[in-house]
Amino acid sequence: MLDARRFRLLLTAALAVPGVVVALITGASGFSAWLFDRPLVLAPMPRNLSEAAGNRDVADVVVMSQAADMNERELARIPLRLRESAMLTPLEAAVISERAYMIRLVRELGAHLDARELRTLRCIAEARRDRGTIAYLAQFDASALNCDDVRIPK
Amino acid sequence: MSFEMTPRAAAWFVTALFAIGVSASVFRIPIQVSDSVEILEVVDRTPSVAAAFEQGLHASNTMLRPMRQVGTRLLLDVAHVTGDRYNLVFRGFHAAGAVLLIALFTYVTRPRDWSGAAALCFAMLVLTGLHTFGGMMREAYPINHFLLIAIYCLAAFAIAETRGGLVADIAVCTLFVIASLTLESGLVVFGVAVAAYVAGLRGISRGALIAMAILAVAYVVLRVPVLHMTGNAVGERQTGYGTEMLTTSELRARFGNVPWLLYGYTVLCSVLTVPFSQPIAGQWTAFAPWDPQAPPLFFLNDIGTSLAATAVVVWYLLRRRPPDGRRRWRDPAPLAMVAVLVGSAVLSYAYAKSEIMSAAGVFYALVVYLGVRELAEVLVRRKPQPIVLLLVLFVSTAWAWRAMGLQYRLQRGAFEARSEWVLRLPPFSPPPVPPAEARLTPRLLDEALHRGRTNPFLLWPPYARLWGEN
Repeated sequence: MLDARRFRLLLTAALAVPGVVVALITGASGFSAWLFDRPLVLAPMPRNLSEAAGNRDVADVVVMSQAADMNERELARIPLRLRESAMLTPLEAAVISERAYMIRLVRELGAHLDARELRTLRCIAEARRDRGTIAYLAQFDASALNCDDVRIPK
Repeated sequence: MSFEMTPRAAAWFVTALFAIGVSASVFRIPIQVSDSVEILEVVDRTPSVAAAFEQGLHASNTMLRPMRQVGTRLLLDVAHVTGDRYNLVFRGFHAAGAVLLIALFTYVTRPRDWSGAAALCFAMLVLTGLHTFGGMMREAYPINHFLLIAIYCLAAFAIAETRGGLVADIAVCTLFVIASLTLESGLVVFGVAVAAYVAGLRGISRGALIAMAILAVAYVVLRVPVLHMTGNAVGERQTGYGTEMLTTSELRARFGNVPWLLYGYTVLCSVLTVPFSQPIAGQWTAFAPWDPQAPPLFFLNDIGTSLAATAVVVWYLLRRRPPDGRRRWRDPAPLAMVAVLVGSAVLSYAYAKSEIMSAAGVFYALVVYLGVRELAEVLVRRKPQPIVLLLVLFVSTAWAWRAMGLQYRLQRGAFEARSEWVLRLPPFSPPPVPPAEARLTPRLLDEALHRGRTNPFLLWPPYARLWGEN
């Protein structure tokens, strides 16, 4: 039975609880951010260079490039583009990001682009049907493409 | 010994948590390249604060904002003293402003009982969940002037609620001068003072109102006959019209001969955006063609929650005050809200921008607080209805989702501001200032790259889409 006293209590709770929950979550996250520069919610960070390149993180690519191998294949999460994590080079991840500027940045920071890698990149770009990266890579090689033995990350 | 928390203590505890959460995310956003680096470099070369003020007087033909240069200069001086830690000082100032605004909001609401404390929890969600608040927190050029204007308006209202006196009068006149020379929309501080006086508050005296009126006239004299400044014209900045965002050339082509049409539309849209969360910057984004693969579900939540809150506001404004039967809309907070809402909208006649309406958003949340508190008192006097509880919980939770979206937007703001330090510099873009004049830029670049790491694209994508981004 919902008497007047209980109703007042529940009404106050219904009004306040969502706000209190948000305050507790964001307050705790804010504490962590102030103390450790690490928010607890909604602030994921790339774990490696490929993950940064695949998620359009030009700033992290620049910072990580100072200490990492620009050609190393690493496990990358790219939720906007791939259903599951994949082992990718920074250049492959850059193509998957569908941002030509990212390919350019990764190359300028020292990634090697040989004929075999270029073919892989072009196949990934073709599979994604992304005009920007296809046009960018066509500057290096616009010949006919055979992608039979190239594994395309999904 | 037992500890019992009072409603007032609970309200301030929740306020502190909100302030910590918002300020921390604001602090992580690096100083941005666009609209910031150039002014930082220019102001840093001025020899004094007075010279910075002078430079600000002549920086534009349409904008009279010398306090922007003064504030930048003062913060630069502090940054130099602390070892050129620009982000610590500028972003720290912004974070402190966020804390001050949230604390002022609770100070003005003054919850005394548990209904008031609960209404404050709800109003905090409205305050931080409104799109105008997100814009106010996300960007700075390099100081966030929209945030300062909101603080000045709220401070003027708080002064109006005091017993008044010479100190209060001097303080409010000083606030008005600083606000009006910070941003054109700072003129609405005068509107707040007048509205509070008309509604019966006497913290700001009639003499102070006359002084502010004289200062307002002096402002116009300084702008027009002295500095020969003009107002914004059609096509100086892009703005929304219908479901489109028009470029400057499209605006000139379409409204060059009928500017009043665009001005009227923009003022109306600016008024509507606060209570209805649409249109955004003059653009009715919710009614634009939807991508069937990714329907923008956030519109349903944004518009639905705003309609619910606005319905409470309208209900509250039409009610009569118990002692004298006067309608609530004549009370100080509602009249101040109308003054800020209409004043800000009129001042943004040439182009719509959510940030310009941010002070109005703060006063809207204040009236939502009053309305919700009174509605709760009315509901508990009626026959208990479980459906009412579910409805309140549903609306409150939907606003909580919007308030969490602020955190997402601020983290995304940090990501974008940090990315600018690569994509808006050579070789991707021309430098913001010529290399020979870039004294601060290398240090700013280094600071930006090594702080505020976050990447919103690593989140589950539809999650972000529910907050209006992809």
